Order: sequence, then C-alpha cells, then structure tokens
Amino acid sequence: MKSLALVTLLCAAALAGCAKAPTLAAPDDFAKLERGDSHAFRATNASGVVIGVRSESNELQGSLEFWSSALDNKLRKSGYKRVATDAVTTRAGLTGKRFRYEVERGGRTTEYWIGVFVTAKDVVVVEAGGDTAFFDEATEKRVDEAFKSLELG
Amino acid sequence: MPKLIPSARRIGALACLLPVLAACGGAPSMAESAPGAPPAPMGGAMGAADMPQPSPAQPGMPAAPAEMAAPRNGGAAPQSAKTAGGERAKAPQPLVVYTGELGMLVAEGSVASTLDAAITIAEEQGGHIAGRGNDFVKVKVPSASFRETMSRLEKIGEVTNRSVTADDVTAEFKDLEVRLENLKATRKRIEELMSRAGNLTELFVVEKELERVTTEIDVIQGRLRFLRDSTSMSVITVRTTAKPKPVLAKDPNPQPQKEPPPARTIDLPVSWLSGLGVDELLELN
Repeated sequence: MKSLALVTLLCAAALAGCAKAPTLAAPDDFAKLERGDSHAFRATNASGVVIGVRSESNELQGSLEFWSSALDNKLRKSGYKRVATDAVTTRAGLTGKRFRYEVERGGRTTEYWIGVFVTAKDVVVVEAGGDTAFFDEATEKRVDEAFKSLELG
Repeated sequence: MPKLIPSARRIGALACLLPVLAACGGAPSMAESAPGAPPAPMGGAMGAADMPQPSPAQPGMPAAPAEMAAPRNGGAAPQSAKTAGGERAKAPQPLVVYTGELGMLVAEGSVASTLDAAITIAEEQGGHIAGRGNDFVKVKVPSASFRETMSRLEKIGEVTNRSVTADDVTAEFKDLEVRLENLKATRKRIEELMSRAGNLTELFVVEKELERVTTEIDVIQGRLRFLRDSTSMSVITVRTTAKPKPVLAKDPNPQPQKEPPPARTIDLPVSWLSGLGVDELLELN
C-alpha cells in the first residue's frame, strides 16, 4: 500500500515536470538559445534579432484587454514609442494583441515587438527585438510567422 | 445844390470822431471783456452806461459731457459772475467743444460693417455722418449725448485707443458777444451821423465807416454761429484697423510630432512586467 502511494506520487511529479512550456517555430535562419530564467523559449539569428516567449501566471485573472493595456502602459512609460498595433491569431486559433515599438539604445534605434495571449491560467508573451537595420521586410515576415506559430503547450 | 467842397472844420470833426467810433466797436471794454481778452482802447468815448450788457442766454448751448467733469448747463449761455444788482449769480457755465476719437481693431472683412454700425449709433443718438473714408468715419452727435455715444461706439470693436479733447471757448464767446453789441451800437451812431452829413464827401466817409463796421458785425456773427454749432454738436471719429491674420510659419523640415507619454498609471504588483523590453530579450548571457 505504501509503495503504491509512492509510485503515484512519483508519477504525478514526473507529469508535472513534463508539462510543456509554450513554444514556437523559429525561422530557419534562427538558432535556438538555451532556456533562461525569464524566457521559456528564445532564438536568435546571426544579426542579433531575437525572438522569445514568456509564460507567466495570470494571477490577477486579467483579460486580454487588461494585460495588453498593462504592457503597453509599462513600455511607453519606459520610453518606448509605439508605432503600430494589431491583432494576431495563432494557427491554433488563439487571438492575441501585438504592439510594435521603437526605442533608442546606445544611439541606435531598436525594433521591439511584443504580443500577448491570455488564457484563464497563463499570460503568454511573445517578444522580438533587434536593431532596426536588421529588421528588413523579409525578417519582419519571418518574425510574423513565428508569432503565429505559437503553441501554448 | 449842395456844396461839393466841405468845410475844413467839418471834415476835421468827422476825421476825429470816426476813429473814436471805430475804437468803441472794435473791442470790448475793460469792465466787460472776458478774462484774457484785450482791453478797450483808452480813448473810447463811450461811458459805462453806453456799454452793452453781457451776452444774453444762447439757445441751444450744449451740455458738457459728464466724463469731462464739466457741469451741465442745459443749454444756458455763459453768465456774468454778478447780476446787474450786484448779487452773486450762478457760476458761469463753460462752453466746451468736445472731440472724441476711437481707434479699434475689428475682424478682417468687417471694417465696412463696423463703420456702418458707428453711423447707425450716431443717428440713433440724434447725430449724423460728417465724413467717411475707407477705414474711418466721422460723426456729429449732440453734445448732450456725447458720453453715451462714446460708450456705445466702444462696444462695436476692440478699442485700442481712446481720446477725448475739450476746448473751452467760453472766453472767446463772451468776448465776441461784447464786441458784437459794441459794434451794433457803433453802427447805430454812424447811422445817426449819416443823417446829419452835410455834403457828399461827409456822406462818403461815414458810409465807408458804416460798411466796415457792418462787415465786422457779420464776421463776428458768423464766428458766434460756428462756436454755437461746435458746442452743441460734438465730433467723434472712429478709426478701424482689421485684425491681422495669425501667420503660421511653415517649417521647411517639420519634425515628426512626438507622441505624448501615457497618462499616469498605477504600477501593477506584477514583477515580471519590469523584465519586459529589449534589454532582457537581447541579453544573451
């Protein structure tokens, strides 16, 4: 009886550890980076354009509108200049909101995209950034495709 | 047949008498002249009893605008400080010619309508137009309504300058009146002399003097009429200037307008929000 309980506990722990983190399909010219403390997924191309995915707990039970507004306010207060806003839908059918910003870093303009997707449990944030010079039309298209390939896991 | 050559005695008498008569009519006496007026010649032949009385009341004398602190005389003419009986009368009412000028800014394209409005106001106050140009109008209004007219005119535009001048013509008016009475008396005496003229030469001399005195009477009466009109009607000039359009200088290299920062918001108690941004995303270590 004791051993059965132990096995059950171990299985539960194993299943919890195996819970899939959100991920996305990185473009072909991107290489996947090691998972860091804040990002569940990150990939970069040779020019330093980085795509990342975060997954945070929706502890405030906020809606998509709430979290997108919170992110936008935070970034604009930090000096980010919003240049575009749109809705983005993943291939799995989840709709989120996406903002595109420009920000000055070291005398250079940096492009920063952020998309937010909200479920009852999680707030998933997809980010992409890099020097504006490397955010050409082809790169933008590949990054856009990467956003749409998001899988929540 | 009358004598054509007058006797030396008669000519001499006339020659002496006429300058004296002329002097009597030409200037007021010391006793009656207004302050500042020239005194009568010392050789005047008239006695005090012959001197004309101070001016009678003049109908239609204007009321002075209250804003000029001039007392309203209700049309009374200047009075002497004392009556014939020596009693002190009311203080003499000044005769003042008022002139007003208003400069005002008006909206572009409404200069003509503003000038029309000024004329309308003047007419409503009993006045009339006295002149008009492209950007000004001159109106005459009864002096009694000078102040009210000015107040109404000030409301038809944005007043940039306002001036009122008051020219006191009381002394001149009194002086002219006295001179007029003296001249009339002189004329009467000359007419009496004419009836006594013994020959044509005497008649000619006396008639010439009569003509001179009559001309002088006409001039003085004309001047009195002018002063009477000037004090009964005041002139107001309204000058308008169109407001300049604000000139917006075009920037040859316009800078893109910076989006204003968001309004003050609360900081959510969510720690991961602080980690958002390119710095953490692009950090490879």
